Formats: sequence, C-alpha cells, structure tokens
Amino acid sequence: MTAAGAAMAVPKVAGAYGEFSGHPDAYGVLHDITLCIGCRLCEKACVEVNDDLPMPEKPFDDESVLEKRRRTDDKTYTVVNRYDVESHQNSPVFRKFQCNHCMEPACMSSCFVDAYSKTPEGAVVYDASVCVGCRYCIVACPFDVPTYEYNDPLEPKVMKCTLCHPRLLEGKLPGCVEACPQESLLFGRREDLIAVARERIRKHPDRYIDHIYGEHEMGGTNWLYISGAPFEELGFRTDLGTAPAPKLTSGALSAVPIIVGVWPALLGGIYVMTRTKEKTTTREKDSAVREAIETTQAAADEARKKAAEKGKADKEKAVELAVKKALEKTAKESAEEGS
Amino acid sequence: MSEPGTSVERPLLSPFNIIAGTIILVGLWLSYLRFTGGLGAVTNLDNNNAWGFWIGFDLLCGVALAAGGYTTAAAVEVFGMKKFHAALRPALLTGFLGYSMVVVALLYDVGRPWRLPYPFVLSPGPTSVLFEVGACVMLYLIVLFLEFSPMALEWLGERKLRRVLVRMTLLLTIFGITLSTLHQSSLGALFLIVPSKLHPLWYSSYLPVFFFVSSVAAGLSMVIFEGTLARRGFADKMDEEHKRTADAVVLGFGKAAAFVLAAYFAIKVFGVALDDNWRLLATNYGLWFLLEMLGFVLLPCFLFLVGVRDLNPTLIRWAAFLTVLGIVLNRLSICLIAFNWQLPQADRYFPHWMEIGISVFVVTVGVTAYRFIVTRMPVFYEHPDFSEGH
Amino acid sequence: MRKAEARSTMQAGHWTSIALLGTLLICSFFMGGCTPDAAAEQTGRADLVAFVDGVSLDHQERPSVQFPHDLHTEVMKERKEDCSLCHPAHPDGRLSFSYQRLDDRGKEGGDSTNVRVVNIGDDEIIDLYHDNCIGCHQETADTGAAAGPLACGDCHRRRPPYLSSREPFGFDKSLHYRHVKAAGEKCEACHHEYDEAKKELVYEKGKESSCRDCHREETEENRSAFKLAAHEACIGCHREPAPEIKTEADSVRPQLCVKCHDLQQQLAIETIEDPPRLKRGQGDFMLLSASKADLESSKLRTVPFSHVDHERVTTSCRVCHHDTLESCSECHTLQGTEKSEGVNLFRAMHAKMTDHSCVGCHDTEKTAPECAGCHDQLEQARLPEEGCELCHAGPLPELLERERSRYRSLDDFRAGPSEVALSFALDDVPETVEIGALSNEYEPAKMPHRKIVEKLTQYINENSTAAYFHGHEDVVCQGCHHQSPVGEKPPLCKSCHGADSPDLELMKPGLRGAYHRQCLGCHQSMDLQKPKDCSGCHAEKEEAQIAASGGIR
Repeated sequence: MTAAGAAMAVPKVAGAYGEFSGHPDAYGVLHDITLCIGCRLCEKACVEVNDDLPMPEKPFDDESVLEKRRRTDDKTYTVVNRYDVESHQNSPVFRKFQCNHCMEPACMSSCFVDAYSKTPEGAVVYDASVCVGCRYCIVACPFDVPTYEYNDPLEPKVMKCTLCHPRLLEGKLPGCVEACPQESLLFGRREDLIAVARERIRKHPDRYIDHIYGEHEMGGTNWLYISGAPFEELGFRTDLGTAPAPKLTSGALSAVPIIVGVWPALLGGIYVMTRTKEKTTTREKDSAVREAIETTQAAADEARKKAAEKGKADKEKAVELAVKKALEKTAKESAEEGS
Repeated sequence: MSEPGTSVERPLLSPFNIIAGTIILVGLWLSYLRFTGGLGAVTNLDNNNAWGFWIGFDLLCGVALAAGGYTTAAAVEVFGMKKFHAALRPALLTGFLGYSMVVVALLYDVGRPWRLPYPFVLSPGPTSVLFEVGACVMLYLIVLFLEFSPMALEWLGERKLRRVLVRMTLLLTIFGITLSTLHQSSLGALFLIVPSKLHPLWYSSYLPVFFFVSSVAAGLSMVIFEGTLARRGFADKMDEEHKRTADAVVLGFGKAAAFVLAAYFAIKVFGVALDDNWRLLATNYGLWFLLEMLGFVLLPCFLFLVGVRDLNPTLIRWAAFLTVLGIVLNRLSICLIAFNWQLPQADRYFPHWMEIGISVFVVTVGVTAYRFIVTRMPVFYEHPDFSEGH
Repeated sequence: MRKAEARSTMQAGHWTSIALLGTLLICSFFMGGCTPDAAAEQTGRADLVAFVDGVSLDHQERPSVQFPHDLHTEVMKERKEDCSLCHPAHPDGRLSFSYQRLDDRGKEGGDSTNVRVVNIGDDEIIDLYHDNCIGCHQETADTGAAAGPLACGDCHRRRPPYLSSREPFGFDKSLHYRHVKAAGEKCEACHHEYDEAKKELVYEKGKESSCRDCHREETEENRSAFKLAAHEACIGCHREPAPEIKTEADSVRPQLCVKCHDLQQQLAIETIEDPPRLKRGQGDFMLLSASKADLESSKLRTVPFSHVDHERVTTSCRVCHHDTLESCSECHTLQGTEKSEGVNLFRAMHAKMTDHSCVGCHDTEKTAPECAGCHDQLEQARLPEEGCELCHAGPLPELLERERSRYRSLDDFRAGPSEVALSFALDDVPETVEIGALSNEYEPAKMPHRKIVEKLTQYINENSTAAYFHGHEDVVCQGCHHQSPVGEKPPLCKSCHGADSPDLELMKPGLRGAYHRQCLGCHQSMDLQKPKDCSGCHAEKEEAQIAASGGIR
C-alpha cells in the first residue's frame, strides 16, 4: 500500500462502555473542496474501475452536465456538482458527492438482513446476495446516498460507492483518489486525515472554513471534507446533529425484551383478576339466590302448616256444629211426638 | 342455540362480483407488469422516495386497521367482557385477512419477494427495527391463523383439532396482544432513524407510543365500522345473539375509543410541547397537522362521547368512520407527506395510478376472501354442532 | 323502530356537520398565520432614527417606530423652517439632538446617545412624542396637505416598511483636506482639547488628533459619545458655518442623513487625488523602536520607516494610528498596557489579520493578482523565518540616540539595486521545461519557464516595495522551488514529491498533486485566462499511443 506512508503513532484512549468510536485503523478520504476544479476525472475513474457501471451518455468533459445539480443513481456511484456561491463570486465551487462511509452507518443499522457491513478498512460495503430489496437503507440514509435498480425485475440491487474495497484489499487506492490531478482527494487513516485537515485550516485561515465536515456529523464519517465556502451552500446538510443513527433506534429496540417479559405477566394477571372477580360475583349471586329460595320456601311451609291446622280446626268445629244441630233436631222431634 | 335466518340468494353475476372481478383482472395485469418490469414499471418510486403508497397505505394503514383482532380479543378473553363476544370472530377474521393482505402487498413492494424469509432463516439483522416488525408480523400472522382456524374447522367438521385450538385461546390471545404491541409500535419506530427527513411536528422520540395508542383506537373503530358494513351485506348470516348485542358492542367500543382517542390527543399535545414546536403550527404543515388532530382525533373523540351519552349508535358509527380516516391520514402523513418535507417540490413523490391500482386489487382480494369465508363459515353465527365451545 | 333510527341518524348528521364546521373554522383561524406575506418589500433608508433604544422587546407594548429623518428635513425646508422646529437650542447656541427637549443627560436612564431609555409608564416622554408628532401631523392634515401617520399602528408598525441601510461615515485624507482648505488651514475650527483646570475646551497646536481619541462609544461625565459629538460638530457647522469658514454653495454642506450615511452618496463625494500632506508636524522618516522605558531590554535593531511614503498609500491616519496620533510604542509597550488592551509591541507590528499592523497591511498587498500566484500558496499563519532583517535594518537601540541623526531617509538604508536579484543570468533560465515524469494519458507538458520568470520579475520590479522585499538572491525562484536550495539548478519537483503518493506525515502532496496544485493554483490566484482546459498544458495522447506506452496506470 503506497497510500498510507508512515502511520502516525497516536496513543489510543479507551472508550466508554457501550460506545463505539470506529475501527482504530480504518481508512478514509479527505476531500479538499478548495482544490476541486470540477474536471470529473474522478467520475470517469469510478466508471472505469467498476465493471457494473456503464459509461454515461454525455462525455465527462461536457461542461453542460454541470449545469444541473445531480445526485447519485443506480448507474452513478459519485457525482461532481457545481455551486455558484455568493461569497466566492470569482469562480464556481465544485464538490464531489458519494457515500460518506459513516462510522456508524444508518444503512447498516436499518438493514434487517444484515446486508451491510463496516469493514475494518473503513468502507461500508453492501452484500447483494442477501438483500431482499426493502429499501429501508435508502430511507434511513441521512445523506441520501444509496440508490436502487427500480427497473430490474429479477435482480434489483442497491447501488452505492464501495470505497473500492476490493482494491483496498489489494493495496491499491480508490479509483477516484488515484485519478484526481489536484490530489483534492487524500486517502489515509482517518486520524491522520483529520490531522492534515486541521493543519491545512491552521495554515490558511483565510482559505478555509474552520470545520471538518464528517468529523462528528451523524457520529462521524470516514469521508471528510474541508471547504472555503459555507457547507450549506454546497449541498451539505448541516442540521444532522452528531448522534449516530443506531442510537436513534436503540431506545425503542431495547424496550422489546421488556414488553416480551412483562406483557404476558400483566395480561395473565388481568385475566386472573377478572376471572376471580367474575367467580366471586357468580358465587355471591348464587348464594344470594339460594338464600332467597330457602326463605321463601320456609315461609311457604309455615303458611301451609297454619292453613292445614286451621282447616282441621274448622273441620272439627263444623263436625261439632253438625252433631249439635243433629242432636237439637232429634231432641226437637222427640218433644213434638211426646205431646 | 341459534341459527341463521334464511340465507339470501347470492347470484354469480352480482354487482359485487362484477366490480370485484374487474378489479381483480386489472390487478392481475398490473401484477404481470410489476413482476416482469420491476418496480420502476408500475411505481413512481425513486432514489429520494424509496417508500411510497404500498408501504404508506398497505403496510402502515393495513396493520393499524387490522388491530381490531387483538383489541377485541383483549376485551373478550383477557378483560372478560363477554357481552362483546359476538364481535370477536369477525374481528379475528378481519385481523387475519388484513395481515395476510399486508404480506401480499409486501410481495409487491420488496425488490426480491422470494427472499422475504432470509432475515429469519439466513441472515438476521437484529439492529433493524424492520427486523422486529417482520418477526412480530410473521409470528402474529401465525397466531391469527390459529385463532381463525376453529371457524374453518367447524365448517369442515373437525372436532378434535378444533378442541385443541380452542383450548389454546387464552395463550394465543396473550401472545397476540404482546406481539401486536411490539409491531404496532415498531412501525412507528421505523421512522425514528430519520429525524432529518420527517417534519418536526410528526417526528418525536415517542413515535412508537403514538403508533401503538392510535392502533388501539383504530382497532376499536374498525370493528364498529366493519360491523356496520357487515350488517348491510350479511345480515342474513347473523344470528340472534349477534343482532342483539350489536348495539352493545358499538356503545361499549365507542366508549373505549373515546378514552383512547383522548389519551392519544393528550400525548400528541405533550409531544409538541416537549419539543417546543408551537410556532410550526402556523405553517402549512402545521395546518395539516391541526386538521389531523382536531378533525380526526379530537372530533371523533367528542362524537364518541356524545354518542355514548345519548345511546346513539349511529353517531358512534360516524365517529368510528372518522377515526378510521384519521388513522389513514396519520400514517400517510408520516410516510408520504411529512416525509422528505424539505425536498423541493420537483423531487417530491406522488403515487402512480398503478400503485393505487395494485393496492385496490389487494384490498379487493381481501374483501373477496372475507365474503367467501363469512358466507360459509360460522363467523356471524354459532355453528349448531359447536355451540358449547364458546 | 324505523322512526327512531331515522331520528338518531339525523341527529348524528347534525352533530357531525356542526363539529366539522367548527374544526374548519379553527383551522382557517390558523391559516392566517401561514399565508405568505403579501407585504411590500422593505426599502432601504440611511436616515432611520429609532426612539426606543434599549427597551427590551418583552417590555414594549408596541413595536419601535422607524423615523425617516430626511423626509422630515425636506418638509422643514419646504416650509422654510429651521432645525429648531424640532430641536431646541442650548443656551450657547448648540443644537440639542433630542426631540423637543434639551439633552437627557442627568435624567434617569439618559444614555450616551442622548436618547433616554423610555420605560413603560414614562408618560412625560411618551406624551412629548405623541403630542408633538401627532400634533404636527394633525395640523398638516387639517390644511388638506398630505400628512404623516395619525393612528398608533401607522407609526408603531408591526411589519416595518424600511430597512436601515446606514453606512458608518468617516474622514479620509481627501475629505479632510477639503475641510482644511475651507477653514483656511485653521485647525482650531474643529480640533480642540479639554482643559481640566479651566474646565473648558481649548485649542492646542500640535495636539490635533482623531475625534475618537477622546470621544468614545458611550457618553461619559462631560464627554459626549462620538456619535453625538460628530453630529454636533459636523451638522452644527454645516448649518451655521463660522464666519471665517470659506464655503461654497449650500449644497456642499450636507445636512441630510443620506448625504453622509448612504453608500451611493458616499461614493459620490468629490475626492481629490493625492491631496497635500496633512500638517501635524510629523516627520518624513523615522527609526521605529520600543518606547524609551523598554529600550534597555530590547536588543532588536530599529526599523527604518518612511512615514511620508506610508501617508501616500493609506486613506487616513487612522488606518495605522487607529485612534490617537501618538507614537505606537506609547501604548504598545513590550508587555502591553491596559490602554492597548494587552496588545504588546510585537503583536501590534506583526499581527496577521489586521490592517493596523505592518505585517498585516503588507499581507493585504500580497493578495493582488500580480503577487497572489506565489503568495497564496505560502502559509498564512506563520511569519517567515528569514527576512526579519529586511525591516529591522536600523541601528541597535543602544546606539539609537547617537546614530539617529545620521539617517534621513530610506535611501540611507537601501544598498544595492532595488530589484530582483538572481545568482545567474536570466538567459540561463531554460526557455521551456518539459515535464514528463507522469506522462501517461497526456503528452509531457511544455512549461514556458523563462517567460514565467520574466513576468514575475517584471511585476516585482514595478513595485519598489516588492522589489525591496524580494531583493534576496533567487527569492523569486522560491515561489515554485520551495523548501529547497535555489540557484541555477534547483532540485526537480520529483526529488521531494513521490510519484505515487502524498506524504501524510510531512503533509506533502504527491507529484501529480504537487504539479497541478502549484500550476493551477498560481493560475487561479493570478486570474489567468489561459490555459482553459487540460490540453492547454499537455496535449492528449491518441489511444494507440497510450497503449504503446503501457496503458493507463
């Protein structure tokens, strides 16, 4: 590898538990926007180096291409755009746009088939052999980088810059870095690149904005930028914050096991409570009914007994009366006969 | 105990069959286009807007509106409210068909649908909220299938298997509620990763809670709404108990929905307050947000309460309809309208008619299946041979 | 059964429609907040005066008033009235710059700009404004003429119609000279000192200074703020010049705000090219050194300084002397003083990003296209390690007193020709240099080396200051042949810049970057139009040629 040169020995400070501050020796690219002249040789090299990218319709030296603001698409891993910035009225500003190879990528965090991986070399690479095509990565990327082959019915893939990872493994430079005549793209270890960027800003305070874009944005990216014109005028999102994407969803995901553990107990408990309540209610109701029946029954028996006794008494009285009447009648008859 | 009344004659060339048939034929043609030409042939999806109408409507709205399954099951089985019993089977059927149609729609939306099992059998990506959604939806679909199967088994006369499944009811219900909580909230959590793309009035770290609470309201309202539609179309299939308790279901669920909508409104207001986004209400997006909150959350809540107080089922049915519209509005707002709100107008997305066509097709397939099942299986009535099972 | 159902449906319908209507009403209420402002664009005015400086927006009941002063001055002129219509005069004849009252100094809340901070409940002041402003407007309206606003909201506008375009104003050499001429060289017409003992303003010849030397941002005890003093002095005199002042037409004495504070008007002020030197008893030439107290500890050679030459290239004394015309080292001692806000002598002379320091101002000169080609590439933040002696060429401090009289001008120091020096003949510079080390897709570049050296030499020699600073032998080569020994045969670029790779540790680009950045950077800084594209420097090779030479790397 001819790129790195002597590694700058920097003592590593241990990170806090649960924090990830990037692979220690990961590489990156520093794009010095003040040096970019918009020649698009980087785009040309990208197409030449990647077999599955076709040559575009208009040749790379056709300046009319730069009149429109372009974005990456399924045949273009990287674009150079032209910006006319008010504070830089002498000449337009050019800037190369491609995957920023974040330290904690949103695409990787959001992929439910683990199709992305952050390689130790720093490149974020995509594995088309497992991709289902859900496109959540395209939704999640804060820089609007990945693209999809919408017109392929059988083998649609996500297309994005690979940092020429296969070439990195062979010890070669990324195609765009090698092609840039101005060496506006500098390849090296991320830490070294930040040191170089800081030094350039220090040396030429009138030339640069004092900010390295990608140092902290979205938790840090492996593609860094320094510029003379304000970043927001060059199509950069400056409102992304420094929280890495995985942190945005880790809270919600961490609630899952808790719900799995607590909900069944909670719901089971409610079920038991309502059943118990129901049973108690039913039991109380039943016993109340039974009591009512017993009371009514007892009262009815009582009444019947009384009625029966009264009937018997009445009958006896009636018999007595009848006997008395009969005796009186007999007495009367015998008295009439005697006279 | 009870039997359905005399069945109505359902001719082959009924208006429903003709319309549904046409839609299905067009849908089949669109499917052919989709699977031979790729997503680009039938959608307006692009690299700025990767999720469109299918995700916004079929997935997000579909899952929310199929929530009637778990809410009714919770009410009847866990909270023991037996008076809603008659609504349980229709709700479970709707849930089962709803989730099935969600999966069908997904087959259209993802680039390589045959690889859908990959995350679970080959290469899981558990850092993704989508993984969680997929796993829970898959498991819940199985749960719903098992909860639905007694209806089919009764139709087929299978006693033993049915008894086994009926015994599992409580277990399935609890499992189902847990899974529903997880995936309803996870659908909201999907958007946690894009604070820079979702309008601040809709983005909140409470998105999962918002989605879950609104799904409860959606479920309750859909049961009422579908009950209303079912009464029109399938009254002949309904038994006495069903007809008798219909109004009780409407009133009971209406009361519950009022509470849930009130809570939902409150936490949405808290969300705006905690992020200090009041000023945004005076923008065009703010107007849209207010319309959603006032017209489709607060208003139906109020109508529910009035309906319950006045014992007015018709008003409650209207409120339910408004709530359903509100849920659709909310999900579409989050996925399509408030998403990518900062992009220039030229880069914004509007669905292709073919996307809408396929969504209509999928819904029609679901409705047709519903019709088929409901006219043959004991959904709105108790099968005379199995009446002891409830 | 049916009747009851129908009634409940109707009820439902009523409720729903009423509630929907209500919702729409509420939403349309908010719509007022989001319709785009059809308000007129704000126009810029340079004459806006604000009445409620200092009152925080939280406490104001109404928005601030934007008062267009010139508008009222014009009206006043039309009516043949005088400033005293609104501004009463002090006993000594000076105009008060407060409205309808003498100054607020001494009153509670009276501040430097002489405008009192208006508090809620400060009825006295509020009534003063309302009665007089509205009163006058009303009178005008009563006569049927177009009048100013009468309603509260027309002055206290929520969406103010104007934007202040006021530019600060100051004298430059030319304007100062015009005033000198008009005053017949009588400096006492404007310049004064304050006599503590007599408690009055006196004129002391030889002590004239910039107004800001005494008059600060805020009014102090009995010293007006600069803003107030300037208006009193300038407008006061323009209104009623003293008899000894020779003025021309009234038009030359502006009294409208815009005449001084509007950018276009400022650019239109008549300028005199190369006015005669300001007479303040300054020398033509001096040897700069630390202050007398520090002279012992400073061992650095003094700096020969041509004051007359610097007067020629600056717009006013204040560019270097910022406020006071005293010698720099009076305040900027070796350690710095409170008055110099801690800026010590070294910083005062060598600070990079300001025009007040020698180095800073000279750096600005280097941004001209003739110079920027080389100088843009050099590190901004560092002072060059060699070259101190180019400025510090005078006698040592301990010999200063003895030697001072020997030196009268810069010529006493300039030794040798003041032009670019080469250790070899110009003809020995190669006419073209073929750069083919990286030749691959392109032919070798043919650089017109001699032409470049000739051009740069010409630019330097045309400017005597540049020539002095580039007098070192072969300095002109170091623009490109940097960080290496120079001479007739300097090292090639590829000696230090590796062909394959940039050096991250030593922060050096690789050869490809070095070539392109050096060449293209220089061309860009010097605003050169040619070459327009890659083939302007190196021709493209044919496909076959590329293949023959081994293909693309």
